[in-house]
Parts: sequence; structure tokens; C-alpha cells
Amino acid sequence: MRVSQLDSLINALKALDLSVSYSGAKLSDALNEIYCSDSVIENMFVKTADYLRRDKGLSVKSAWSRAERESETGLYLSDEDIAVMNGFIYSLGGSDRENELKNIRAALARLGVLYGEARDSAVRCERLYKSCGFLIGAMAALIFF
Amino acid sequence: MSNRTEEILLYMPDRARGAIGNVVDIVSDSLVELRFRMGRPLMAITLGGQYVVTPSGSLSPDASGAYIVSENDIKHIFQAICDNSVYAYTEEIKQGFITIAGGHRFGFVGRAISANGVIEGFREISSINIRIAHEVIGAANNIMGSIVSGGRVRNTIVISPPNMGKTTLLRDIARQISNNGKKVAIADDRGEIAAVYRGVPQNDVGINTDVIDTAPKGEAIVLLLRSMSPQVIVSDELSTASDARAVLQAFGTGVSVIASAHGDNLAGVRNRDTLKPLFGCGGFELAIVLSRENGEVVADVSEI
Repeated sequence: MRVSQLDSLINALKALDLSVSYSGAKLSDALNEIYCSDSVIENMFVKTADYLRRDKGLSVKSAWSRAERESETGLYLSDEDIAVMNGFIYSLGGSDRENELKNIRAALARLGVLYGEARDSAVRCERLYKSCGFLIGAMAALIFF
Repeated sequence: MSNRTEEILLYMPDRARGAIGNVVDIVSDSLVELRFRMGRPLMAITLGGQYVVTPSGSLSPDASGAYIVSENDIKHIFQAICDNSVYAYTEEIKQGFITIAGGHRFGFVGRAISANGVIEGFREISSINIRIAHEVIGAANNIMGSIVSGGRVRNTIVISPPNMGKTTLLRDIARQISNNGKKVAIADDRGEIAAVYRGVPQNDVGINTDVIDTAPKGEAIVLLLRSMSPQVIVSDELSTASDARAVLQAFGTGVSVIASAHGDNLAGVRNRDTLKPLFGCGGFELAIVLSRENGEVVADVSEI
């Protein structure tokens, strides 16, 4: 689940990169058009967009924090994943195009590293479970036969 | 508090919202500007003078006990007026102001980013000036009879020093001419006449009016002549040779021009080198000079 949610976050940021680069869409519009395979992540962006649209004076940080609190039960991200994401989100929308893209790409790079580590960890766990399964099967065979 | 001034509160940081709400309640329609300068007292400019705002929202003549504007206040306001999308407001930032719903104009300055001697934008915004939009429907009632004669709109120049209501008058003139069936086009380089927000004028400039905003006046007038086939062009604060050339072109095509210029009197304006050509044959026919007498703005209408 963590791997899948990190993958969704990365795709979401890539979509944001395109919005900022080419259409210059306002943040609330850009966030509302993010589609992710993970519905919890997608919902966080959509909710953030909605809060920003409804309350002109609301900061991106406040809107995202609210959306994050409402999605807590469905989030499988690590504390480090959340820290990277929050650090990026809190600075979102406050820079000119060049620096905004730098921020997005820096966050993408960091999330990419976390995704790689999460995927490697998932592969190791899978191997471990398979090995444990084999060992338990072998022991059962020894005991009963 | 009017609905229009309530709109400003949406963009204020929590810390300042209460104080500004009280200021707006106290001075109501006489509030002209709110000035935020980082590290310095919050100021309110009203028709009656300039005051320091206290944290409770009262107005004081001196700086003791003032609400001191913080860096976070400036950042919050700037991000809010940019819809949390500073990257999407490159052109507006170059212009140095953003108009919000309601027609209020947020001007800002800070550390300029320049290239080849041209300001490309700002970073580290340090001051924000909020000009409160006020329109006075009917401001031009007493002078319309002089401007429109025999169904024809006469070329008219409105002259006054700053803060006398030139723009307010121009706006109402445009509205009345437009609603009486003439095609009006406004070259609104500072966004103060129509105060367009997302394509919709926030001030009533008439149903038959087209607006170009945030474009240099001279180019805007020429483009309007080409694209909008106006019968009347309205423009604020003519000053440069380029402005004058564009207005001459309008005169030459038979389009009436209603414009304004800074000055104390007609003689001073017509002797200005850049604007002299506009007072010859076929040029401005009517001058409206605004001045203040006994606290009231008075309009002196004269034939040119």
C-alpha cells in the first residue's frame, strides 16, 4: 500500500509539473485535475483544491493539513514520506514559475528515492514471506512424514 | 460594512482581520487605502486624512500602540491575492498590481527583478497598498448635458490634481454614455476605471462597453479602434506622447474621446508639450476642471 501511494504521489506531482509548466492553471484548478490510482491520495488533492476555492484567505498549508487529517485512516505513508510531502506542499504556490518547477522537481526526486526504498523493502518482505512459507511447509513435511 | 469592503477581509491574515474589520466599520465609505509596510505601522488613508491602525482596529494620529505589519502578514496577503498561485500571475506581478473581486486593487513593491532595464517582477514583497474601490453612480449627472449635445458625444478632458475623483467621474460618464446606446471602449491601463476581475468589470461601466486593461494606453487605444469599432473611447491620465498620438488617431477616425489628465487648470495641461496637439482643431472641445471648495469637489465646465 505504501508503494502504491508513493507511486500515486509521484504521478500527482508530475501532473502538477505539467500544469505549472504549460497551462499556468491556478493551484486549486491544477490540484482538482489530479487523477491517481490511489483514491485516498487523489481525494487529498481534491479536498485541498476544494478548501482553497471555498476560502480565499486559506493558506495551502492549512487546506492540505485539513485534507490530510480527514484522510489519516487510509494513509499508509511513513513519517518521512509525509514530512517530504508536507515540506513541499507548504511552499506550494508561493514562487514564480521557475522556482515553482524547481520545488516540484526537488520533491519528485526525494519521493523517487523513498519510492525506490519502499519498493526494495516490499520485494525483500515478499521474499522473506515466501521463504518462511517454504520453511513452514518443509517443517510440516518433516514432522508428519 | 458594505459587501464590497467585506471582500478585502477574505484576503487578510487572521491576525489583522479583526482590526481591519473594525476600521472598515468606523470609516465605512470614506476609506480610500490600506497600507501594509513590513515592520512598520499599518496605515489607513481616508477622505479625512491618514491614520495609524491599532491592533483593536481604532484609528490613531500617531504611531504609538500601532499594529505593526509582519513579514507573515505581507506573505499571506500576497499569496491570497495570487490565489496561492504566484507562478500564474507573472504578468500581473510585472504590472505591480492585482485586482480582486469587487474591484479593489492591491499594489505591491519589493526587491525588483530586472532584465535589460525592465522590471520583470518582484520578490521579497515589502509593501502592499490596497486601493478600495468606490464607484459613485450618478457622479456625472450634472455635467452630462454638456458632454452629450445633439446626440453627439463631445471630446472632453477632465483635469484635476490627484484624489479629486477624476476616475470616478470618467467611470460614470462611460456608464451613462454606454447605457444610452453608444459603443464605449475603455483603455484601462491601471485597472481603476472598470476594475476587471476574471473578465468581468467589477464597476458598472455600462452594458455597451468593452475594456482593455493592464495594457499601455497608447497601444490599447489603437487596438480598440481596430477591433471594437467604438463610438467613444475613455482613458484615464493621458501623459505621454504615445498616449497623445493614439488619441489623435481616434480624433481622426471620428471617434469621440473622454479622457483625464493630472493638473490644476486647463492652461497648465494644454501647454504641456506632450498633450498640446490634442487641443487644436478637431481635438478636445470641453474641459472639466475639478477642485475642492469648502471640502466639496466642484466641477468647472468650460468650452475649449
